[in-house]
Amino acid sequence: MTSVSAEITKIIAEALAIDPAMIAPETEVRTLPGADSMKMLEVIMSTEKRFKIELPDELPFNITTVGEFVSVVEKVVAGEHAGDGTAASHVA
Amino acid sequence: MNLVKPNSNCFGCSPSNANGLQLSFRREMDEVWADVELDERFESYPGVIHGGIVATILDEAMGNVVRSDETSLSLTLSMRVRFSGLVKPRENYRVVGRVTSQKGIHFSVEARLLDSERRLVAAGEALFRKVAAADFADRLIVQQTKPDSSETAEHDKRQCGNYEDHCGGAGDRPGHDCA
Repeated sequence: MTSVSAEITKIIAEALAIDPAMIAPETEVRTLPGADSMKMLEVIMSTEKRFKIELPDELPFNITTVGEFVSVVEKVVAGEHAGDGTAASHVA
Repeated sequence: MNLVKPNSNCFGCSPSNANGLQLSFRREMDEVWADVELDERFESYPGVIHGGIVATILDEAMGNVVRSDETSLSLTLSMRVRFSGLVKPRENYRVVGRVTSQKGIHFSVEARLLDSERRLVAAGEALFRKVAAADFADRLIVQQTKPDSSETAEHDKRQCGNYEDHCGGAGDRPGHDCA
């Protein structure tokens, strides 16, 4: 598990108040207990703060699994675009 | 120097603007909060509060947390709003604003609109500039009494050649120079 993956697992577990062991790369985010659009926004905002990045607004609609979410964050952290043409970026 | 109250006609927080949101903010520690309940006047689709109104609520919370007292004004420089749920008329919400960082007179702030179960339905992040009200006085039209709205419009038109673009909208927009 990468450091990004570990951090995101922690963020999701805290937002949904669930055991981190329930979260794996292949886990579909929407199948997690308590997961909805409101919790997803909390997760995205917490992730942005943790990594000092800005994620694309359409992210919740473009990812299905935790692993996909981690992949997008890793790309943005690395300074790459999110792969969807959106200028996701680091925040000063 | 008090240029904002009690004669303010602020759409967001003036208690005397019958057509406004009439948000009443309270400060606790480093946050401000207000309870929000709107009626159908502020709908977009039936049963849904207009997204622009939700953005205004978030903007108000962020502006109010920057304004530490009535001698200062907070000006929105940029704002990002994200929605995660519908805001409905005649339901209870709470908006909370707080400063996340400060560099001189520039404040990074955030606001969250929470439903009655404290679930996040909308969030805003913004950059504000805080200025002394006295330094901004020449750009404000200070109302000594509450005039008829048609008189106010005529007055603003005389003051500003770009009334529709400026005074008709957010009069505190940075760079706005109606006087």
